[in-house]
Amino acid sequence: MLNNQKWVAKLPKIILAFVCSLCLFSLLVLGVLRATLFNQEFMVDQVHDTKYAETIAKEINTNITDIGLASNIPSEVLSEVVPAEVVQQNVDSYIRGIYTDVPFNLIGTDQIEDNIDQAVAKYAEEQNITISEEMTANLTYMKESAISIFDQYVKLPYLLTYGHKVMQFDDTLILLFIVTGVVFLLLLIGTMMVIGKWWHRRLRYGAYISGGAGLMLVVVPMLIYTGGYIERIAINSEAIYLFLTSYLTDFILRFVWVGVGMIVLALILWGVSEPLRVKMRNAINH
Amino acid sequence: MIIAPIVFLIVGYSLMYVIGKPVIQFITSSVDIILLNEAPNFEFIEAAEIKVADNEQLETDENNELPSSTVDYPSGGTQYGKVKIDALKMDVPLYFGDSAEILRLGAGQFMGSVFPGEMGTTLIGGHNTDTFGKLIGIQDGIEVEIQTTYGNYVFKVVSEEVRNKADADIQTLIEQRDERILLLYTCYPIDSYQLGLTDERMFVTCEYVSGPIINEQT
Repeated sequence: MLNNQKWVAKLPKIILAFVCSLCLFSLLVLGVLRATLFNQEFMVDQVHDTKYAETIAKEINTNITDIGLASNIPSEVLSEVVPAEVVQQNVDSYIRGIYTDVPFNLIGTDQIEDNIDQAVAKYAEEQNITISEEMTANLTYMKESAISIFDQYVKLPYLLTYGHKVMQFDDTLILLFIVTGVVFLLLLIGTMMVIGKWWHRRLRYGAYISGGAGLMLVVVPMLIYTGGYIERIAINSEAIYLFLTSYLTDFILRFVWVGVGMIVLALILWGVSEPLRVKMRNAINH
Repeated sequence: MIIAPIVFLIVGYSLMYVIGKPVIQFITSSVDIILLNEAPNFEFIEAAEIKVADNEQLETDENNELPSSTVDYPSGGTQYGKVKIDALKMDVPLYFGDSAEILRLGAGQFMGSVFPGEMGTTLIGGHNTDTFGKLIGIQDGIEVEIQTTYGNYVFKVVSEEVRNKADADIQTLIEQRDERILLLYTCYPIDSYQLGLTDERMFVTCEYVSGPIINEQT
């Protein structure tokens, strides 16, 4: 009976702590979203970490060698006409363009055309082939096709659409973050006032709030991560697959790390509150 | 200490699920569409040695027909035969599908065309640099062998012509289902002393001579 009364008395505090925990969870989710999906540096970092430019340069070169094979040019002749550095510059510039709405223009196409010209001229010389006017026109067509492949690989259309859609919500996200932050602070102050003057109780409820939010942040992302869903994504370009799986994995793990941080904080708060509680109980008993 | 956060977790997730159920279901069903059964494999596929069928041992009927239910059709991207032209000393692996990856390995059958032995046009392409470069020496009457895992076929060349890759007559020929035709093609100019890309292709039309006929009704 006494136990029931004790729980009824505790219930408003627990409910308030739960709402506070939910609010903290929302605040942290918004924070992680702002630091990842809405952050161009996050995408640029993933591009560098996965060596996206190098891998995609290989794919571009392979596709250009396919055009070469259709043009009586063996694959080894055109296998390195697109340098990884040029791809890197373009990809970085393209990503920044997505987030800043600055129109993107290809960089380094002249260098690629020069590389193709030089490679073909060297091959023609080795084979004693005289490049006629008609051949020059066909080779120009081949170069245009090569640049078109380069363009398609650098300007991934769905990346642009994704970036633009995300950035449309940037202002709303910031507003939501501020509102949630203010609500959380008010709720936290309210909860602490309801709990009373005892510090060990305030710290313990702080641990509940932090621990609850931490668990909510960890469980679902961890299930997604360990479930292997990201690895099964259907993409037939190795470079894009590596980039996207790394991007999504890092995004999911950010929630896990922040969640783990909150759980650690909860344990610290709990660890500080317990000696205080024991100290206070001993003081009352004496 | 542990009970309260776990209760918060359960109640919090339940609340989120109830409120966001339509959105969650939409997201999970959308994600399912873009997921494979297992992680994709990007390893390079080498041309393999395959076992081509022996026509003598096939269970064909008196009309030399093979029920389609007994044919082991290949899946996309797999090698299932060879294109052989003895007169040109040409022996090229044949794959089902004609993606850029496949054409680096050998000849590729356009997936929208019929299999050799079926009624209609079988369209097979290859690069002029290596695999199909020898077609420069092709002439009317030369025999083309298509050896597959389910039967061996002989066709005879009836015409060689250079057309635009989007030529309407060629498109009609690919779509026809009245006779068994083999259509080989490669990029043009085919002469290795002519460098550069064009929209022209060399098409070699061949008529059916022998090989098990696939009965598509059985």
